[in-house]
Amino acid sequence: MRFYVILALLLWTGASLGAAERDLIRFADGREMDVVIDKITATDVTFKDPRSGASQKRKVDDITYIVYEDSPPAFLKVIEFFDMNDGARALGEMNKLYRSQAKFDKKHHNYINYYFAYALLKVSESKPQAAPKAVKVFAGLEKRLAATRFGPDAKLGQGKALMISGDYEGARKIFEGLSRSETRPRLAVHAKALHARSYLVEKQYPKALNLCRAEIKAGNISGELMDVLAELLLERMKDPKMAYTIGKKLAGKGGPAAQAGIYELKGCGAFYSKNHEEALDDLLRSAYLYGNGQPAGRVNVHLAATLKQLMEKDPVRFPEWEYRLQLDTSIKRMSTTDQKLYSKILKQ
Amino acid sequence: MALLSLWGTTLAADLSSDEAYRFAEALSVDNYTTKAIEYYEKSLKGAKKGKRSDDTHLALYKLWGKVATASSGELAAEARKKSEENFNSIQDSGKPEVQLERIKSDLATLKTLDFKLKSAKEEEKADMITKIEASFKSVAEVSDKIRTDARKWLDEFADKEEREQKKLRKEYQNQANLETTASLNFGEACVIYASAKGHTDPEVRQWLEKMAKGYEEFIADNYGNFAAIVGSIYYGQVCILLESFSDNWGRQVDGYDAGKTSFSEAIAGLELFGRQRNLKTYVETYTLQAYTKQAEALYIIGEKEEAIDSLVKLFEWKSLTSFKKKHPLHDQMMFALQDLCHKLLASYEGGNKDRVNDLFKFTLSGFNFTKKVGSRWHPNFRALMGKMPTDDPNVEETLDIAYMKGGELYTKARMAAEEPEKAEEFYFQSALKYKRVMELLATEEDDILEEFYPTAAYRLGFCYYQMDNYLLALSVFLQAIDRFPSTKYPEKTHPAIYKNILQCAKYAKASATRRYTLAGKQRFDQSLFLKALEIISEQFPAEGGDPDFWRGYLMKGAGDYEKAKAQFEKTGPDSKMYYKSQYGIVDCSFRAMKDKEKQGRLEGEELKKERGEVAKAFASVVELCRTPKAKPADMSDKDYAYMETSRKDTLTRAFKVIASLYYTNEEFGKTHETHMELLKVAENDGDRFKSYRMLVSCSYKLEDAASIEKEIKALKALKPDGEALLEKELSSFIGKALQMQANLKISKEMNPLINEEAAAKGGAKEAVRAKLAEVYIATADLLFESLNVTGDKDENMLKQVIAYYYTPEQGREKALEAINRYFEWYSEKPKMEAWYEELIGQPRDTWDAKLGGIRASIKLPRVEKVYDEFLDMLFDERDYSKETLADVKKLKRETGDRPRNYQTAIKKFEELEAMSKSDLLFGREGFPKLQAHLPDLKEANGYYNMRFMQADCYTLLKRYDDAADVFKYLASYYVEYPQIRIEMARSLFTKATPESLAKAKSIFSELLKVVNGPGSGNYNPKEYFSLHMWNSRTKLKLMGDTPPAAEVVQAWKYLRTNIMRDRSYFAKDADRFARLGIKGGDVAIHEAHIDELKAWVDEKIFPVLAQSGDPLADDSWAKILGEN
Repeated sequence: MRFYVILALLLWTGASLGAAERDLIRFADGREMDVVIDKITATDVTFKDPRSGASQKRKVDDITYIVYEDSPPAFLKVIEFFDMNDGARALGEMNKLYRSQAKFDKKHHNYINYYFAYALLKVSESKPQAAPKAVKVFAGLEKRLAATRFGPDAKLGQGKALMISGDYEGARKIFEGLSRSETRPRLAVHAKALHARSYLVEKQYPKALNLCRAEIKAGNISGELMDVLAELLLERMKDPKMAYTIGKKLAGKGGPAAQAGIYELKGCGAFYSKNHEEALDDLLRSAYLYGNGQPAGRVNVHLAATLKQLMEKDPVRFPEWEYRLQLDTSIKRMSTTDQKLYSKILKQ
Repeated sequence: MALLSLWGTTLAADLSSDEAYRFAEALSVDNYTTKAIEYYEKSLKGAKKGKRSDDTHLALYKLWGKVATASSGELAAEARKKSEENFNSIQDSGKPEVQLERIKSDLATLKTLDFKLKSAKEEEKADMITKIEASFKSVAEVSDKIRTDARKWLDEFADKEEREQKKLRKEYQNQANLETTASLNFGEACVIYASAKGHTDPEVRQWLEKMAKGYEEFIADNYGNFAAIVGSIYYGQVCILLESFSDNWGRQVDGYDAGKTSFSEAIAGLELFGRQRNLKTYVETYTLQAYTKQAEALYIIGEKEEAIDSLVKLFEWKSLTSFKKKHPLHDQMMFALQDLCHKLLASYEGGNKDRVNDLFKFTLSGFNFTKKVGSRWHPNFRALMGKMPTDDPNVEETLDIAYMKGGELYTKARMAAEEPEKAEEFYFQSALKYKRVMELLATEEDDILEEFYPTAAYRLGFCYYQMDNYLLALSVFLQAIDRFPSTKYPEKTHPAIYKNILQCAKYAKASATRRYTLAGKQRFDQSLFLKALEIISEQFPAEGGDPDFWRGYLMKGAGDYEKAKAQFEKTGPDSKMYYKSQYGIVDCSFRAMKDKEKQGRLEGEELKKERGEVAKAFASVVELCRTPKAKPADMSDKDYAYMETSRKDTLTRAFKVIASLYYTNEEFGKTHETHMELLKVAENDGDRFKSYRMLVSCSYKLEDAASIEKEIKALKALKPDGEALLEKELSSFIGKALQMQANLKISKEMNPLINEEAAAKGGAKEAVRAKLAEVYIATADLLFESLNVTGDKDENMLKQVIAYYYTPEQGREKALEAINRYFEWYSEKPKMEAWYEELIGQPRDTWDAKLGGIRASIKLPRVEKVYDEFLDMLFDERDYSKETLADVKKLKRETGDRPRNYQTAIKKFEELEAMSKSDLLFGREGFPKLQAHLPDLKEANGYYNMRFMQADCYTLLKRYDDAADVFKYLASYYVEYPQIRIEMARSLFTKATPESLAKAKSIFSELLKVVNGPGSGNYNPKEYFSLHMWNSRTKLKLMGDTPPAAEVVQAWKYLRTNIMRDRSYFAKDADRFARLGIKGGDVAIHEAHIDELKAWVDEKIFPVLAQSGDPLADDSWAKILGEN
């Protein structure tokens, strides 16, 4: 008995020591894994699973963050801030790390440089006056990061910063280049959507629409692209009929994120053509079947408006006891901008 | 069934079975019941039998059950049937495990129904009780069967040999679990049943007795086990509910005592089990249940105080802090606490005042705890706090209570901002309470201090500040800053404390300044002021600032403008106070000018010129502040941020002063320009609103309608945020702005057009009228919008709106909307009406007495005569509305009593007013009394005018049913107007009962005798023909839906004869209309009336006539009107 206790104690100690030496990877699907990193190239990451000892190779494109076991503790905080979308505090921490990077081993320099620029970009999203600095920092890092796993990400960041600062042509050049990337398909999809968004931000709506159409024709249907399309057709061009037609045509195509966007287009379009039952079905699909079960933003607003219309129009089939709570919850979920949109579309 | 099939409409048949199942699951989580049913059913199509299909059927069973509970009648029955069908479709639906799922669902239904029953209307209760009975029986029967079967198996197991028992160990556990779960569910259901139907109901008692026996056996079978303890809880509950019963051995048991003993034993037993760590959660759960179930049973039998005691013991057992937000029992504990508070409050309101301190204690503990842990129950306790009897003299003033009362008074003071005296009283009382809080805090620990002190100190100081006691306020603020320094309590880690202390710092500075500027120089302690600044600037640099600047500021306050200027000039461009100092320099000139103006040393053109000069000086500050400066080399980031903020503030302030200077100089164009500039730098909608307010005023002064319109549009786009911009403030001003726009429309467009119309002739007049109509409607639109935006009940404005809409024919629909709004506002009948009803048939002396005994003051017979006529116009000797028109005329002649008429009464009043000068006593004593009734008289007159307009609009809009309703009402007032009687009879016709038709017929026949026909001086074609038409219609209607053809022909001949007397009226002949004196605005009403008559003849007469073979069979409108 005593032997087993000592063995268990040793195993536990060993395991905990092992845990202390592990690096951490967060994958694009949100999973995290304790690993021991072997090698990182511009395209792949090789690591060992310490539990099985098996070696694995994964594409850089599938990985969101890598934290080394000896990464500065502040970096973990930064990741939390990024998760909370708090660019200002992330920048505060990254600024310190960036200035004192000489203290750390060389393997840490690349990601410190990149995330410093990335934090600046995050800040620019809410304070556009910071965008020129972000452009400058990304440009300064271009050569240094080109051959690393951060090369394409840094380019993308530069493009985004250029877009925020109003240099749409410059941004588009970068997005176009990245959208052809074969080694980073995920990033390429992102770049394609950003390419279209750049036209949208610049208020060149027909061009944005043509580009979206071309991408759809080429089979590049992503959630991000659908998001651009939804904003373009429903908010900017105010053409719900087209939104509905496109949504109907694309229904069933693409992954869950794309489907969520497609049903958003179709549902909102159906709402404006007063086909409220179809709208309800589509918006519920967007939120519950393909989304995370929590209607938000445009979907939530249109869902609430649809419920209100249906309850008023047909109280027998859409009774208070069933839908009142959902309607109230939807309204509570709305931001002030959403509430404004809600009352506007109800007036329409 | 047809109804249910609608529920299952599938809009898209494109999902796979798996997807549909997943979708349905997600939908049912968020209670989209119907949609979830739709997709669960879809997922079943083509799916194989197995676990998935069983899960789906079970889910459908529950969802249909939910529909059945929520609906009634046929739908409920069908939903229940579907629910059953789905349950029976589950493979092995008879298995006890599956049946248990069913019990769970039914139990949930039972709980929902019991909850709804408590707030249901009387007429709904019977249906709910029926549903409760059905659900209860389902739970009771099924759980009883499971329990009995499991017990049988367990008894057989006990008789088996040890070897066999070992083999069946797993099944033993399963059966034991089944027995326990079924027993507990049965118990739960029985208690809910007793709660719903009453514990003394004979049927309920039968079930309770069964429950008691079952639990006696259950406890005996599980003696010494945890299950037995749980059983004791339920046994205790049933004992209390039974009050007195026979046990398994036939002994008579006192349920109340037995129940309480059983609960005590259960709680003691749970305490013993609590020593085993692995049972901790169970022990906590069942201890909570023991106390709450005891309370529930006691409450049901009416022992309300004892029920409260039981819940109090629950909170003595463990403190709230053990049940933080993430604790699995948090919700149950909070529910129990809320229940306790409700029960205590009900007891207090029921007259038991002894527990007022308990009520406060538990409610406050719930309020503070839920606030501290961020529980979702907090709003419930906040609502409860609002119901606390704070004025009860027996409330013991603990820290919590003093703090709460202080807060309440503080809020009242803030709310009473518009009534300064009231607010001051509340600030005083609040200060007393917060002072008490500070005293009670003196002996408290650090964590309590952190919780209460910063807020209490800030509020106490603020109360002193509001009471103009700046020295005390300063002392409280500085103590708070000293006690909670920002270095120890930075914003990052202590945001709430930091926020309060920062406020303390801000108000400390303001208190110091105010004491200086308002309390007089002699009493001002400059060193205290500077010391305060020093403390503040140490803790909150942004609030402290540069000493040079503050010295200048003090000098400026003292009126030493030249010295102050010199002091401000010392502040160089690299100081963070640079912009403020630059502003200070110009502000000195501004103040000097103001002083001169006050002293009368500067006036007229000279003053205007000086204002212009000062405005120019401020303009230079604006230019300075427009572009940001680069950060000085040795300035910290924080100071630079402050400098930037002060630059923007100074820019705004300078703009505001410039604008006010121009405005005072009546240079509205320049004021407008300045506010346009100010608008560009405004940072929030609150600032933008202030600018727009001034812009609108200037545009109005400049009579610039286009500009006002643009500004109103911009105002509408602003978003109130509840702080910088209040919704009421914004809407009130938009309302005013709309009125201004309307006023401009009236002065610039309407009045010139009215003059033009008076001068124009012929076709030109019509053209002007058309234009004028548009302007009337546009103006009314603006004023009506103004009323809608502000929500003010401005009667005069609404009347103006009605008049503008009503005047042009095309505005009648909107006029109706406005009229209906008037009746929404004034739904009560006018006062004069109530008097009329009270005095009808009373002697004339009482009429005079009602008005205050005016006759006694009248000396001249001619005045008395007019006064009598006046009274006659207000009151009646009989109710004329029940008399025929002929009788009214006859009675008038015979009695000399004329039906009331407020319009004529007003005319008589005017006559009396003129006479009041000749009859002196009447003028001095009687007339003032009479005059006091004039507003009521005008109101009553206006009321019927308004009703008349309402009926008129309805008629014009062809909403005859609505019109008839109003006319019916008007008939009781306008007793002498045939048209009103016609409309009233018409409403009886619409009712279409034999009695109503007969009554209508008699009214029409009676009217036919007195209404004048063509050729007579008082001929009114609308009255005349509508009377003939309705008379014929009623006559025919009395004969059924298809009256005999001969009667129809006869009716037509009679009507035709009358039509032939004035054919050109039916041809809508404009000249004929003019000759009859029908005004332009009324033509449409006549035409509508003609169309109505024609349509009726087309539909009901001509087809019968054509078939009749009568010589008139080929009659048509074309033939009659000579068009063919």
